[in-house]
Amino acid sequence: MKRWILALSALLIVALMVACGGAPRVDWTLSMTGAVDEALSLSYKELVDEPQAELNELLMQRTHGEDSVGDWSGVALDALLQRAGAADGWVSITALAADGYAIEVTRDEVEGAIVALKEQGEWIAKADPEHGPIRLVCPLTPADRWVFQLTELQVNAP
Amino acid sequence: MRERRLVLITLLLATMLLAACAPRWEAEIIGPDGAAERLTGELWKDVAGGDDGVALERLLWSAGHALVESVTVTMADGTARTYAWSAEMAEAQWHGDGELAIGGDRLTPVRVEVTAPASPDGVQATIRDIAPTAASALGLRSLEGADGTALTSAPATHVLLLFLDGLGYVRYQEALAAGDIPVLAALGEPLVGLTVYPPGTRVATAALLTGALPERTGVTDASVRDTEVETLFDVATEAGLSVVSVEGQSLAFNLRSTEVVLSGDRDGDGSTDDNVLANTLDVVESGMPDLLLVHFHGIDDAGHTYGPGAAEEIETLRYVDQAVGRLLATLPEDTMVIAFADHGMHRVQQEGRLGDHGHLIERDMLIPIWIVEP
Repeated sequence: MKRWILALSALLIVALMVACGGAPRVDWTLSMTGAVDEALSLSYKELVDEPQAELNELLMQRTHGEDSVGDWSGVALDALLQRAGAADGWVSITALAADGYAIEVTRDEVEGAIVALKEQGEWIAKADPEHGPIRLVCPLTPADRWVFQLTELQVNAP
Repeated sequence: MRERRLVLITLLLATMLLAACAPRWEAEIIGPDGAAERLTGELWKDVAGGDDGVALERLLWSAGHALVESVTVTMADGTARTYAWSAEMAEAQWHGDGELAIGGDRLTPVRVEVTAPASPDGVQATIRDIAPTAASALGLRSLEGADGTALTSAPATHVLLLFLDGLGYVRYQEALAAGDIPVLAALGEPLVGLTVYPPGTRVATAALLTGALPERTGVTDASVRDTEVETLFDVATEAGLSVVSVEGQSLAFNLRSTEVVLSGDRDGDGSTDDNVLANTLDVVESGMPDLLLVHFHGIDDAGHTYGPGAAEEIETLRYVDQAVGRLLATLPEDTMVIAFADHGMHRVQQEGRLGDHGHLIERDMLIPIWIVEP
């Protein structure tokens, strides 16, 4: 009888550990609109289920505070643009954030960018919710283009 | 009974320990009106938060100073030292032990006095007057948090807020004398305006839109990019007016209660001012909004990169001046134009940076404010 209880407890603990390591449940939607064939609206869960790309040992140049180097992973922007059918000659993307911030980044600046869900292997939603749950990370630009609390990506045609 | 005594003794010891740990020193900063502002270790802790030192400038601003030429530091034995502010403004720090690090010295002041520059024209307005002026012109109610006042009672159907980032009053005077800004010159003599500390775009924009001091907006440094204090845009939107903001590549400050038109450098020419102009002309052509904010960033960008007065910065000034001319030519007649800067700029010698702002000096703090009535 005691063995049963022990086994059950161990099982529960393992299940709990697995649950804690998995993606958090987050109520968040990312839209892709503008010059696209089909506008996208992806939930956090759907973004988690997409193939994940990595940007490792990336220099983060901050306007305020010290620069740092870190590892990021998430959904490649190119994959989202392809899926939405972005117009061939698109020139820039306007990224909008839930806190009211907005920025227009040029095509050159978003080359190789990802919609990051993890920083340093940790879900941003858990480890740094203020700068999450998802963040545009552009490897070729300073971090003032790395929009956090990202809600919408508008594709701009010329 | 014994336990109670033990608890009491422990509490007493803890209190004594806490009292011993608290910084115990006192000094005074003399305000511009001659009144002494008391600074103690406890007050210092409130300002410092968790930081090791507090910029002396922040304490001077709190004491009411907006422009500083020099500071005189007096010690307990009566000796005093005077420092030129332009040399010390970036480094002077007051530490938790009561010591002031300034000019390579480490002093324990009992009194700090400020000599202000003799501004030839005197300050006539502040950046906090702009929102009340626009609200008054459009017949809107007063802004709840504002302590600025309307600079004119003239009414207008439309208001254009023309934001010339980084064009300080001193630089304006130089450009005027050099004949670089004929369009702005034709607007007439601007008011000598004062921005808020620290003079930077985010802090100033919060003050601009709310008519309130940074201590009230909560935007006390560049790390904060929005305010909960009611803005001019909130009040205009509440009254059913149309509000449009034409910005550069990004929002320098999180705007709300406005339609935002971003103007990224889509043509890759290294400037967004041409994009801002093109977008603004489109907005005006499709129907002038009741309230329109247009933000040219180029003068600030060129000032940082090349330094105020450099050939490239002058070229940008001339371009923005012409852009303003093209914009003004398209406005409906019943438009009030309020043109202004958020801060100025002074020369520095840093890697990749020859101009900067952020200090209590005339070049950074004084701004031109033009009110052109319909």
